[in-house]
Parts: sequence; structure tokens; C-alpha cells
Amino acid sequence: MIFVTVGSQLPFDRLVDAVDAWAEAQGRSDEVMAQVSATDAPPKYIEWRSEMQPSEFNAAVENADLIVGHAGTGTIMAALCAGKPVVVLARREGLQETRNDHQVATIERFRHLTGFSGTTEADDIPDLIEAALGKLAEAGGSGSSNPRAEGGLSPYATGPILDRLRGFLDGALS
Amino acid sequence: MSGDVHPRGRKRLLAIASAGGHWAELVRLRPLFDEYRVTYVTTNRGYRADIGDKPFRTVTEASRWDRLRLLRSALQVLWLLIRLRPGVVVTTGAAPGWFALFLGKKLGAKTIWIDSLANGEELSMSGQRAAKHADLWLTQWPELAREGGPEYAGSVL
Repeated sequence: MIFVTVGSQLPFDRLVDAVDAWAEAQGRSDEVMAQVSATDAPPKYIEWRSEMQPSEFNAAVENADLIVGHAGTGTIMAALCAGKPVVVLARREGLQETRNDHQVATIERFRHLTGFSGTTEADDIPDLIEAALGKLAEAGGSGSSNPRAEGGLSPYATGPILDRLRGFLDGALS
Repeated sequence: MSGDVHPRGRKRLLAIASAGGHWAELVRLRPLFDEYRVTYVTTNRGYRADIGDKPFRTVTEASRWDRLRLLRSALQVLWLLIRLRPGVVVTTGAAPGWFALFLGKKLGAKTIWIDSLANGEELSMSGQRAAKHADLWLTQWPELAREGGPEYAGSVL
């Protein structure tokens, strides 16, 4: 299953339309489920709904082989923490998809992580989906019964930020 | 309360973030925050499962485009601060976190603003405003750290 998510705040038709067209062209519409937010133009071929509660969102991520989303940190971290590959499209300010181009920078921030791929162009989405599915098929073919993105992301923060915050909290809360 | 048997520190920690990426980033610090007398605050009840048996409250989400909701959100945050009297307020944004920082500071709390991972090239508007009211201001991008501005001490990744 491929789970498409645009986050809880704004619709993102450029992404959903790209996946919808790809799924129809490949005859895979029944393998895709999309959370599309409050859009006037829902997808034509794939299953969709507007919003999801956190528990439903977590279940959809867990049940998916691949996540396709907007380049929000919540979406990306949820996918990588679940060990699922994630393909993201950055919202653009110039297309009135968000208030600034922060998602373009977010892509650069996560680019080094295994299982992550991102773009600013909807035209790239089919290739990125195919590439991610191809990697999953390879991993599955090599004997793993539950193919997951290698590496992924641990569920909790590590490193110096913990020491910095602990030092501050110990002083201020004593 | 079961989580408060042997907490570090005497005073309460208020950890607050809006639903979505802000909350997801805050939750990544949970093992650290859980060492203290922490209360978590967010804008969607559905996140309760993320924080186990720790105290959990919700307030209204608000953006700067909706003044009535902003006012309601601020009043709810103020009420929580008055009742809980936290020694520290920590937030990853957005608007309700900013209210908690600003009002918490006025009520005598120490304050921590952790700018979101999503603000990679420029600091968020709420991040820049938060600076004046934050005792500790962290950016998660080394290239954004500067004298008189945010400090970089790693990220929640």
C-alpha cells in the first residue's frame, strides 16, 4: 500500500494529482490511499479522505510500504521512524502552497537519510515512487519478509541537544 | 501521579507544541522531559497516546490570521500557566507555544524556544519574536547560530 499525506493544515493538489495520474497510468489505483485535506478537487482514481486523527495516521503509516507526502517534518519523521521509505514534494510559496519556501530547505535537511527522497517538481514524483518501490522489491527479493528502509530514524533525539537541555532544566527546576 | 515518583527537579516543566511537525519534534525529546515533573500541552487530543501516562492538556490551535481563536488560545494557555505554575516552559512552536513562552516569562518561568527543523534558511517569524522572551534559544541548524541570536546544540533528529 502507498499512503499519501499532505498534513493537517492545507491541501496540496499538485502532489495528490501527480500520484493520482501515476496510479491510474500504472493500473495501481487500488493500492493507494490519500489524505488530501480540505480540497475542492479531490483525486479521481485513488481512494481518499480529507483528515485523519493521529491514531489513524499512525496506522496508515504502519500499514504502508511507502509514504508519499508534502515535505513536512512531521510526515517525514513519522515515515522514517516507522522504517518506511518516504518520497516528498516541497510546497512552494510562489504557487501559494504555503507561506514561505521552508519545505525546500527541509528536503536538504533530510536528504542524507536512508529511505528519504524529495523534490520541488511534481514531474519527478512518478520516477521517485518507482525508484522507492524498486528498492523495496529488491529488499523483499533478498529474503527479508518485512522489507524496511535501512537505517531509518530512531524514535527519540540523541546527542548534544539532550545535554544542553538537561543542564538548563536541572538549574531552572531545582 | 505515577510519573512523578522520583522526578528530577522540584518545579513543573511545561512542554507545549502545536499539532503536526511541531509536536513530532517535541515528542522526540520525551525521554529527557519525562525525567522531570512534566505536563505536555498540544492542540489535538488524539496525541495523548504519544506521551503515555504523563499529564496531558490541550488548547485551541490558532494562526495569526484568526484573531478570535488567537485570543481563546492565549487565554487557555494563561489559565494553564496560572494553575500549573511551571518553573520552565519549553516549546517547538507555533502560536500557542509562543503564548506560553511570552506569558510564562511574565509569570516568572524560565523559557526555552527550540526553533523547528523546518526553519532551515531563515528563522520563523514566531522564532524571531520568541527570542526576546527566551532564556535559552536553540536553532537546529548550525548555520543559523549567531551571537545575540540562537545557539546550536545539535538537533532532535
